[in-house]
Amino acid sequence: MEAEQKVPVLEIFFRGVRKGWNIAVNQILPALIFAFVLVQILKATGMVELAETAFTPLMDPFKLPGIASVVIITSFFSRGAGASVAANMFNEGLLTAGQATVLFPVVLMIGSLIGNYVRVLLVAGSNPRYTMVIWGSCFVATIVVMGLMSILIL
Amino acid sequence: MAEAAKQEQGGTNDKVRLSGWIALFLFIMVFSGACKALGEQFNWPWLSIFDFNTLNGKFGQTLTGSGGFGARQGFMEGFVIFPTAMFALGILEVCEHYGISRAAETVFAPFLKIFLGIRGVCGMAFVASLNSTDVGAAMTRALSDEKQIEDDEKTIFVGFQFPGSATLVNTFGIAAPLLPITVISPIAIVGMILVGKFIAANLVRLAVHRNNTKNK
Repeated sequence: MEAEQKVPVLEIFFRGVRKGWNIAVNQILPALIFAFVLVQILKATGMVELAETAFTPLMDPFKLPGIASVVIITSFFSRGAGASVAANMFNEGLLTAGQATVLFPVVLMIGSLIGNYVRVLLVAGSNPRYTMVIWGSCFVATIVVMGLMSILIL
Repeated sequence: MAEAAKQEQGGTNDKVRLSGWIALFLFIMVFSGACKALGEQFNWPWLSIFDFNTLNGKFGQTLTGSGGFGARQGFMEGFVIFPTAMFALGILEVCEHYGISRAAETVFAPFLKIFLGIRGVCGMAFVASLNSTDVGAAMTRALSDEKQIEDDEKTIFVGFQFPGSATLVNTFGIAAPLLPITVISPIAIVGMILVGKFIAANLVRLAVHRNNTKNK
C-alpha cells in the first residue's frame, strides 16, 4: 500500500482513464451498436407501434410510453444495451429526457440479472431456499423505484 | 477470488486518512452538481471547476451528424460517449487511491446495522460491492466462510447486492449514454438505486424473519 502511494496522481488518473477506455470499447460501443440496430428493426417491422399499444397499460401508471417496456426487457439481459436503447429512444424522440431519467435507475436495478444470479447468488453461496424471495424482492424494489422516480421527475 | 477478497479485508483495521475524507467529500461534490448550483446561487463561477459536467465539457459541433441510423449511427453515438466514461473513471480511480472506500466504509457501517440488520464487518464488502459485483460477492462468501456473519445475514446482504450491482461503476461507466440526458444529478441516480437496494434487502430480511419465527 505504501509503494502504491508513491505513484504520481496523474498516473493514477491515467490508469482510471484507461479503464474508462476499456469499458467504452468493450461494453458501451458494442451495446450501442446493438441498441441502434434493435431500434431500427423495431421501427422497420412496426414493432414500435405494437409495443406502444401492448405495453401502454403497464407503463401508464408510471407516465411512461409503452415503448419504454423495450428498455426494461433489454436491460434484463444486458444493462449496457438497456441504457443504450433508452438513450437512442431519447435521440429518436420516442422518450423525453424526463422519461429517460426515470428509466436510468431502473435499467441498473434489473440490469443483467441473469448474469448477476451466477456472479452474486452462486458466488456468495446464498441459501437456495431464499433464491425466489431475492428475485421477487428485486422486481418489487425496481417497481417502487420506478414509481418514486415517476412521481419525482414527471 | 476469495483470497483477493481476504486481502482486501486486511485493510479494514486501517484508520481513515484525511485524504480519504477529502476524496469522499470531493467525489460527492463533483458528481452531485452541488458545486455548480452553489456557484450559480452565490455568483461564484469558479466553483464550477468542481462540477463534473462543466469539466466534461461539450463537443464544438454535433459530431454524430443528423439523420443517421443503424449500426453506423450506433458507433458514432458510442464514440461520443468515450470522453465521459474515461473522465468519470479517471476521477473514481484517483478517489479510490486516496482512500474513498475506507472513508465510505466508516460512514456506511453503522447504517448496515440499522437499515439491514447486518454487522458492521460487512462495511468493506458493502463498499466493494458498489464498485465490483464479483469482489462484493467474493468478500461476502469469505465473511461467511470465516463465520464473521451468519447465514441469514449473508442472505440479506446478497439481497442487497443482487439488484443494481456495482452501482458506481455502472452508473458512470456502462450507463454513460444516459448521463448527458438525465435531468437530475448522477449522484441522485446513485442515491435512488441505493434506496431500491435497501428496499429489496429489507424485503428479504422480512422473509427471513418470518421464516425464522415460523420455525421456532
